[in-house]
Amino acid sequence: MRGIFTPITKIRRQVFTEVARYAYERDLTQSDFNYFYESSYRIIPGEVAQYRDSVFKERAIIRERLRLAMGLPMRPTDTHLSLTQGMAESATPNKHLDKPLVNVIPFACEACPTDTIKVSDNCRKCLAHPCTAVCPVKAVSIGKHAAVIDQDTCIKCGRCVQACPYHAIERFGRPCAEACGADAIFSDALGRAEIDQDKCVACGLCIVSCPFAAIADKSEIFQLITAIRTGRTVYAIIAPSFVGQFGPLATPGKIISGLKMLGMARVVEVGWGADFGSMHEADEFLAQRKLS
Amino acid sequence: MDKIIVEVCAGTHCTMMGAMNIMDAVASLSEIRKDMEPCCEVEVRPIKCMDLCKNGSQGPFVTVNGALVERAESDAVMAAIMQHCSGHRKAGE
Repeated sequence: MRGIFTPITKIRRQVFTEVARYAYERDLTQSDFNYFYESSYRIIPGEVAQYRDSVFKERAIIRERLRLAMGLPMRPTDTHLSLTQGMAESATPNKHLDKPLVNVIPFACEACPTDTIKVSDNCRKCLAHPCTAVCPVKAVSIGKHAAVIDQDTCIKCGRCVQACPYHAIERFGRPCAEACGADAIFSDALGRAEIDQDKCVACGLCIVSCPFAAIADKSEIFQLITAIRTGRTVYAIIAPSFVGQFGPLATPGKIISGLKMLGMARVVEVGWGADFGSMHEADEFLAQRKLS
Repeated sequence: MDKIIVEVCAGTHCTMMGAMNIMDAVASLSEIRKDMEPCCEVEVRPIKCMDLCKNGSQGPFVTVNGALVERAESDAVMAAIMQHCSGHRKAGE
């Protein structure tokens, strides 16, 4: 869903807005974070669910997203912990992100089926039914109305998908697991996605792939704003991809000016550091060549 | 040919809530509509902040021939465009 504005983008931005607003408006001498108790009601107003089956669940998910946006870990689902637990301690510019950076919010996860091969409505129960002939484990049979795949026997080889003349057999999986290049997503006891943090490289692909907004990352937006507000010198080191980040109307000059208006002392493209690295490497290489 | 003017607020609040994406989506959908109903031409343009977010209303704000769409999404804007399209109205009669 990258590049398409969906309710997920909206929710994500609303959460960041809440965190940023409080970071700017709060009294720096006070460490009261009660503001965040109201946040989930501002983001999910009213009594009718907009996104999921209930407003209570929607707000509960927003609350975990708020914690992650504050750079804090999620709370356990089975024990009581205050929403604001840890916020006072993490409200300083000295706080840095702790792993895990990428988190599945368990109760937001729809426990999508893992790699599955399924017969769709397109099956015409044709005379040739090559799907049965190509199956190496005899998992495909012809049922009353359509071909049937015995999920327990199926080894997901995909031969029947290729053989069907009507494209009636589809293979699908979990968008998060399909996007993950590190093979870090497995299932918990309830069939929900869970991240193997030893394998995860925090690339964020699962976050943008999950259609249920069940995966979120931590941010340091609050700590950054606090650093600026308390007079620290803050440099923005931005990835070269910033050029395409805000659409065609935002020129690089505008983005850099905007960052400076936010309070950055200087804005440097991260590639600049790489240039220095390359120059240094080249000098070293030449010096070694001369020696030998 | 009728001209339908779609103005999209490009203020900070609206931009953050997806105004630019609405502009892109409406412009690209209007291309397809032009072949279906050549009676109308849709012009999408960004405008400076309409100041509507200051009174507590939620953006993005979009006007279609002057009619305001609050909390706009691209499908709501397209629906408003189709209402303003004379050819589409006739076809629906």
